[in-house]
Amino acid sequence: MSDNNFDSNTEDKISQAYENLQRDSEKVNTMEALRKVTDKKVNSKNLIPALIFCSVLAILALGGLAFILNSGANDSSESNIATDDMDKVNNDLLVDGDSMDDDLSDNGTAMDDEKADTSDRLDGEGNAMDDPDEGNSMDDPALQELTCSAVGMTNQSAASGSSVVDAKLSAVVDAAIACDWDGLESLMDNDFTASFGGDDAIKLWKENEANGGQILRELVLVASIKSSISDNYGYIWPWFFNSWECGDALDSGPTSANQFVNDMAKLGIDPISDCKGIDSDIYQGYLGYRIGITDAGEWTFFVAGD
Amino acid sequence: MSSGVSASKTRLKLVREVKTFEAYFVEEYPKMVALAAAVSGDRIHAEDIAQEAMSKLNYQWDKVSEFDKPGAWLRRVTINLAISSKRKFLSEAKAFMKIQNDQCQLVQPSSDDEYVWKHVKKLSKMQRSVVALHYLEGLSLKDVAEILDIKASTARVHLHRAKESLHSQLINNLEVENV
Repeated sequence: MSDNNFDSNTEDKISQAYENLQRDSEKVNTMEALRKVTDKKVNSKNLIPALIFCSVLAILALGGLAFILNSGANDSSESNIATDDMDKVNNDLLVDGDSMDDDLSDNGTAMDDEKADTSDRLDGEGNAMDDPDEGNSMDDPALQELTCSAVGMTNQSAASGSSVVDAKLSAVVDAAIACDWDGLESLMDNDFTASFGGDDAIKLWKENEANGGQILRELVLVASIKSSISDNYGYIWPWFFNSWECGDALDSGPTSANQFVNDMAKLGIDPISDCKGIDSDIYQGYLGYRIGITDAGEWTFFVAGD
Repeated sequence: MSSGVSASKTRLKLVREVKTFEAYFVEEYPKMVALAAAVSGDRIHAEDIAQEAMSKLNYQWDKVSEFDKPGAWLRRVTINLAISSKRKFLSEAKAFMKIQNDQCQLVQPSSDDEYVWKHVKKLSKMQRSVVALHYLEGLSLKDVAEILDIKASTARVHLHRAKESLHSQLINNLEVENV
């Protein structure tokens, strides 16, 4: 495979184009860019105390508001319908099939409305703060520890052929399904990489899950697809992360075409339509999450392509 | 290595040297702008991509500066951003274009070079990355392979196919011009 096969004129043109690009890039305002990049870091550092301060203020304000509302509710409780009666009223309304809001607005005061709106969530003592929905909110850090998107999934981790590696992968998947954050952390290598920009994988993933992401579900799914071996990083799931591009045959990997399409579908990708899509230059291969475990069984990364 | 690559280019110092982030930035930022432009084919956003990569480096400087080859890490991040940025920027391109045109400092290619870039854009993402690292920085196939996490033999194949494709396209263009 000799480069001498190539025409020297065109080789010069290509080479010249890259050299010109490099020369042009040296003219960009590096110091201005440096200022932007360092400011960005400083600003984000300054943001943390500001966020803490704002959070404290918000908590105080909410506490005050809750106190005022509670006082108001207590003051008016004698003149309003008792909670048990309210439940009964609501039940009657629901049996009648009428709109609760309509009936209550017919019935009385603003306070009545407010109480009725929440009455289906009140406990026996009529204490709105014991609302079970609030108690189960994902905003509660304690509950974030207990639940995650991988709950209910089964461990179908794809064997790599190495017992050490497979044992680690299986332990990782088990921990993910159990939403065992400490367990996941204990399985990570010291230099574990979650994604570019993320030092604290568990913190990142908890944030992801709390914000409606399903990163642990993704982890379990990725682990269920066959792996490939990388010279530099050991075993990597899924196999098609760097071995398949648009235009390649669907059965060019270690699985049948059907299996390949099914595996990609698990990760929300259609290798046929996505490649044909808007511009095949945009999607040329798998850019999503991948798991890396070294030959020695060290879990070194769970990263996405960008 | 191809004769087309300038002999004056020295082999990239991927290996760690003790430096401050600022000193490292000044040395590497223009190269990342060029790499981002070459891989994404988008000069307008190349500086944004390079700045994003340098920001990531800044956040992880304590860790990455201890790596044996921080330059390899930085190039991989830049290439990944340049590849993924195509999706990201497409959706916002229309709204963004005017502002970025005003801010873009990287000059647009000459008409001669435009031919080349037009065909570079048609290469696969891996080919664009291999060719960029090879032509821009004169990296060995071993270094290119390490950055892209592929085998050196695979990098060689990507480079050969990319060059083959570019040469045939350019020769066709020259023939059309001569006719």
